[in-house]
Amino acid sequence: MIILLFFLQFDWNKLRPENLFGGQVLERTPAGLSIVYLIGTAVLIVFLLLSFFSNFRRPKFVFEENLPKEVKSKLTTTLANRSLRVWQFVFIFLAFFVYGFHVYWTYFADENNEQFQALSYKDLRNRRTQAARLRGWMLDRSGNLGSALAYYKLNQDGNINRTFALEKEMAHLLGTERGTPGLERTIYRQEADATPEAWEVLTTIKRKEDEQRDVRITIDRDLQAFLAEQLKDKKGAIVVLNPQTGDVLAMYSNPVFSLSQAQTLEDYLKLEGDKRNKPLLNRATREYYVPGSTFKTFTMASAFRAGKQNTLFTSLPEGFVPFRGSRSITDANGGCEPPYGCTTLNILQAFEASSNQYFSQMAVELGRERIRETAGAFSILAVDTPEDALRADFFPGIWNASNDRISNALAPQQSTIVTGKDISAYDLGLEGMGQGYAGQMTPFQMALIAAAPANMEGKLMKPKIEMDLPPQMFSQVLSPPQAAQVREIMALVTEGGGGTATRVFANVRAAGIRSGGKTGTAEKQAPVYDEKTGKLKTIKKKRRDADGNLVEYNAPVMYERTDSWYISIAPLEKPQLAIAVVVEGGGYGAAVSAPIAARVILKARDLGLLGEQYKPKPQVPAQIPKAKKKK
Amino acid sequence: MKNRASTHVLILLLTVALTAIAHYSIHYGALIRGYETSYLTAGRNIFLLLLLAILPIFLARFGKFQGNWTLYTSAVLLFSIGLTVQYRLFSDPEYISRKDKAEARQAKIKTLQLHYIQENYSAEKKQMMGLPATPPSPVDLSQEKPRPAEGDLTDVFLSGRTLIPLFAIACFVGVFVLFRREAVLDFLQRNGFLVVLLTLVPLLLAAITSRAGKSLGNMTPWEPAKIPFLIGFAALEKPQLAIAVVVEGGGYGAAVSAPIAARVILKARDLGLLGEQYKPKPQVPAQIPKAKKKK
Repeated sequence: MIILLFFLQFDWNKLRPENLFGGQVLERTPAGLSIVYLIGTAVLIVFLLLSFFSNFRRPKFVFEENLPKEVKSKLTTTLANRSLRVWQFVFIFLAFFVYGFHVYWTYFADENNEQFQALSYKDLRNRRTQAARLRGWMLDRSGNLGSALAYYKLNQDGNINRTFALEKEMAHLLGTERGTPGLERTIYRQEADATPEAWEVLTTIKRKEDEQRDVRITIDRDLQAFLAEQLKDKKGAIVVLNPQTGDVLAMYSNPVFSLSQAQTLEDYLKLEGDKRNKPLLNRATREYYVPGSTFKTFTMASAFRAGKQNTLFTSLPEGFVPFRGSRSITDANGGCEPPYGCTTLNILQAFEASSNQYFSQMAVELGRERIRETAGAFSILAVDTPEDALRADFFPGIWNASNDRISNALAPQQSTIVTGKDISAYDLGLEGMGQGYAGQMTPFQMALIAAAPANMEGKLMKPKIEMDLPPQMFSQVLSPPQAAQVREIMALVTEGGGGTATRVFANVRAAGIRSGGKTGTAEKQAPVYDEKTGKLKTIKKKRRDADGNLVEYNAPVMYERTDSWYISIAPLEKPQLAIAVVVEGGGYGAAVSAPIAARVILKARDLGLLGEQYKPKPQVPAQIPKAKKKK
Repeated sequence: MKNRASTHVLILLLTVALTAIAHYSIHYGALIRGYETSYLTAGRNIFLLLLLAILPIFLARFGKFQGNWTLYTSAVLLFSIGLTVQYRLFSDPEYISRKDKAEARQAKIKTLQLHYIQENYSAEKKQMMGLPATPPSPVDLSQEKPRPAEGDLTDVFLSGRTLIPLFAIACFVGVFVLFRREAVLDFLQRNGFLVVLLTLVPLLLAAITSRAGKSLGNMTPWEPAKIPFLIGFAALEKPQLAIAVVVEGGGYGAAVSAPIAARVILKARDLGLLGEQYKPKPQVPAQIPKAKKKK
């Protein structure tokens, strides 16, 4: 009766697995039950083995019980009986052999058998658990769910799909599921052991779920979208950093692709095959450009490091001749740059007017060693010969990231400069103005060059993409007073009477933001593509091969592309932005890139990235929009 | 622990209970993945095992069998594992469907994802996804609507997976009863070779129709385990008996059928069917073991 009452009163739900094991529904929860089952089976097998061995010595016969005791004790196995026993034993042994095989293939092979591991991707169960595991959400620097960059959404067909807020604008940063990985494939913390062992489920009251695994990155969603707008129908890249912390606020490269466009293999191969636009290439970090005059910032920083910032040089109408018989280096107009003309210049005037002659002479004055040393401080690879420069690799070391996978995914192609003793003074002079052997710079590198003096302490901060990482220094490029001086000189470009970007930045000044910068215009040899077919244009040329025979070959038709550059820092008092803009074939830096930079600064002000004091006050009353609605 | 029928019945009942736990585990695991397993199939499996579990009572009581039950129990144990594995696989829509495997897999993935979201995502996140905004809470499986299991009563009970084991159990009992009749024994003794040849017929049929492991190179790793089934026949140096034991759905030859064959051989030996020299005779003197003991 009591037992019956117990059965009626007992809450059978307490025995449900989720209440027994962990209090949550997990894919592996029933493994706890399986363990009960396996232990029971093991006990049974032990019982059976015991019972088998207790009978092994001598079989019991049907007639045995009727025999008298003396006879019974004399009973033993004959040879034939024993052979049958052996067969019986063999069968049992083989049965356990089968059992052991199952245990091996289901459990131990997973860890020990290489062939099994190599084929494990074929196991659909693995793929299912992999697919069922949701990645975290990616939030922008505001950390609001509303401005999530990557999240999950329930589609109309009822499937849960990974969705990207800026699937085009952030395609290079996020990366596709195939090809070179981006943030999507690297930033989420991957657990060492995704599926817990059964006994872990059994022994833990509540298995620790890795918390949300949402990540917050330093990209500002609105700014990133704004950059994409600015480069519409142009080829080029923009990088926006915070020079104080190294935060990457936005980074965009055009032409771009859409992440949903790159999901199938065919589409991906199509993107990869587009050699003309190279949509998969992140121009911001992995394309070399000739930096042109923007590189004078580097030469200036180098001069400050050497203490030679007060040196005066004279511009001549025939240009600067580094050594007897060398070609001369003139300014952009073939003589001397206005407004100062052919006269003796100090570094302020030279930078404001972008004097090639001054910075070439400065580079020669500084010499190879100092250029090399400054290059190292700016994370530029200084090599001995031009051939070495072709072997430059990715440079993940520049990133301040929580793990190597992230820094490898975002690693820029390392910019190079040749400083070996084989290059002439003329070459060195060209490097000083951003031409010649200094012609392998990435936009990312140019943003770093702007960022070092923009840092209040003259430090080059390692760029970072994860919001919650503490800032890290890459190198001490300048002393704090030097950095302040360099900033003031950079401000001349936008504020000085002869500054190359003074006119463009009028509206930025009007908004009360002081900024510094440097324009650049650089020629680069680029291949010509057929307008209609999109194929490389070639021309038949002849050359002599090793045996001296004339052979015909197809040489690509090249043209001189004028890239437009602008690097910028703003606001000058405590820079929050270090910007590098490059537009391929854009023409003069002041014409194309500088206006883009100016718009980016104003947009950043609107977004509050420059700090509260720069934010425009909403003085317009709210009545007007309401009135409009009524209409 | 004495080797009595009652002990083995106890072990067998324990096996049945454990199999029931395993089936519940599979059922629950299926609910987590969003499909339901068949209660009928589970009932059928337990019924088959119960039948095998209580069979020793009848064979010992009415059949007067007093031999060793170890092999029988081992065979039933392995059979129960086979049934459990079979239940897991054949109730999985991803495993059984030929056409929409991918669809079934996608459905499972979606269920798991929804469970994860339900347990871990905040209300705000759920709302953004387009799901009802509920705070994170444990999943209540009883509120879910799993994909129903296929097959009704007739499907399950008239399928080969029910009928063949039943047939095999009946054959087992039949062979046991038949072999105790003098006339049958006489006939087998006289036509032993013919019976062996007849045995090869189902064996050949099995070899021809078997889908797995046509040759050594094509074998799955556990396929060689079928070899002992064949070796069982080689054991008879001068065949007096040929036994065909087919327990379909019982798993591997070595696991179920071979032990039964071995048991039958032993029984036949006890009954004197294998000839005089195999018959256990109490003629060997007890001196030799005694001498050994003295050493």
